[in-house]
Amino acid sequence: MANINQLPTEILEMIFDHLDYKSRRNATLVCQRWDAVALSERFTKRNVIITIDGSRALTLHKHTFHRPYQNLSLKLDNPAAGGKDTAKGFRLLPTIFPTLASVKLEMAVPYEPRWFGTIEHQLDCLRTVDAFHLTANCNLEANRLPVLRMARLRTLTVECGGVQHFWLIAPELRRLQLRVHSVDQLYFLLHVLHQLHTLEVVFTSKEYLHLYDSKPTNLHALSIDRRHKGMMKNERDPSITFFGQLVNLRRLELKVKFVDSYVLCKVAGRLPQLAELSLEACEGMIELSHIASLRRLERLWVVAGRINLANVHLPALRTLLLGAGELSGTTKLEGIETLMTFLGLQSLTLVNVSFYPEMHKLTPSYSLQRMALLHYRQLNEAHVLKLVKRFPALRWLRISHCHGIYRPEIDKLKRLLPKVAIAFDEVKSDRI
Amino acid sequence: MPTIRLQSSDGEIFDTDVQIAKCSGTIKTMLEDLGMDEGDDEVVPLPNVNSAILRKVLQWATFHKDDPIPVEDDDSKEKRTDDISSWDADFLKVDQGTLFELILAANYLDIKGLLDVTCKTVANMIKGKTPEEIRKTFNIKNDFTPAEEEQVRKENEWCEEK
Repeated sequence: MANINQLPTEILEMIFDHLDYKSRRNATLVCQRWDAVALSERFTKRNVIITIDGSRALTLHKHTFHRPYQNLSLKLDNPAAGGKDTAKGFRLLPTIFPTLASVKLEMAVPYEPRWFGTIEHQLDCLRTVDAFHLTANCNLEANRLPVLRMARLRTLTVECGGVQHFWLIAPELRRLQLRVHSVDQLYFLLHVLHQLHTLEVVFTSKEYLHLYDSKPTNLHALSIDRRHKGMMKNERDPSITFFGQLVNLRRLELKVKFVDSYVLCKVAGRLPQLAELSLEACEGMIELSHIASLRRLERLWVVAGRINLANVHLPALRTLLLGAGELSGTTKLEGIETLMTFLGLQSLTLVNVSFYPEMHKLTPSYSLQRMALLHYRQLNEAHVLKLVKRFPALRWLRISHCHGIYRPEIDKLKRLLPKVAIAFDEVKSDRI
Repeated sequence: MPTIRLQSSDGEIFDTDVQIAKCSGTIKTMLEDLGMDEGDDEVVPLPNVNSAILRKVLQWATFHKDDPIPVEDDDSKEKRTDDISSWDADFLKVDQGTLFELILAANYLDIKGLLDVTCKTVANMIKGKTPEEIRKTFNIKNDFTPAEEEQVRKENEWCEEK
């Protein structure tokens, strides 16, 4: 086999699957076959988005597109460059992209009636998409926002700064990402909650209290970010009742100011079916003994300043992340020997977790295959070697953004560990 | 130690440790599903792999025989190609023809680890190069007309990663 183009398309695709997007786009210019394979319909459908901003829409009618595209990003941030031609460009969208499936709309324009008319018309054209992402940072008059009917919409993401009112009718909606900072947004959430399978919500005010009145029994995945405010005494019992109703929940992600041990213990006891759990606390310690009842847990992420691993046995655990949040100090671990009792653990990530001298005395664990060490403020290759020696089956190691490990250290580690594939990202700046 | 006999496309027989041969999903299935017992003197024909390539494949499998079955997690979906172990990097210092043959053999024999690392090695030969440099590296003829090439270039400008 002398030439790469004698390889079957299936193999060429596998090779291109290892390319970053920029290299892949570049590969389309090599020859016709590479163009067809590198940005094939299969790939563009999932990974490529056509980006049009207000001024660019002007020239849209001058282009023909030879590939089909399903994802579109519209940036409306420059009404001055708009006017008639832009409106014309926008009107062509449904003709140029007849198979649109997902649309991202970014509005950052001051309220201007004529311009808004154009947007309104576009929203009307986008009613058949199944994914919609709205980013708005403008003051729209509440009564001017249309009620949208999106019959096929399944995924909705709303990030709104100035927009208080957002309303739509979407009977097929199953997945919602929302930032709640007003009562109106909360009402919208409560209105669609019963039909959702996945909810990711960020609360920036105390509106979450109303959430406890709902019964979202269809939820499979729930993510709640309420780091701004800790749990109050009077919400302990309502929250335990609320989580107890989530009988279909498989994935739970909680970002909180601090973990209320009593609530965590009770909630974990009511969710024995949980397969994935992510806990992030800004303050205080997380004790894993409180989630000891999660016998089916496969993936666990714990982010806190102090983590106590003692007295927990998670027989199904395969993936574990322990560590520090962004900008916070080193995470202290207690009960580290428990790490070796997770007999099915295959993947371990440590984010700036302090190293302990007793590490080298731990009984080796033979299940771990993949390890990542991220964002260490201080790390050296002796630390890494000590840790790796505890896991003889390790075949993949990633060291990213760690102070103290640079190219020469990585080359040395690669020589010392010939069986381990080492991925490396240099720390961005050496200033802490 | 139980062995089986593998026969390459050019007729050479390789007496191979069963555990090593089972790195190949294809051979593993053959042995398990088709009821070929260990200890049988039967020969397993591999009509798509010649002896030079089979020798390389078995060398790789011998070194990697204790590897755990690869897991799928979020990291493994990451598009990175620098994570090649030093042994594999040395092992794959071969000419392009051999590299492509190894990919085809790894695909046919269903050896995921070898397929991954060989595809990554080729991806590394593509990364960071201009289209002209890529054509030169792989001896590819540019079959675009200047107008077609311009069309692809223009269209690419609208495309971003989702």
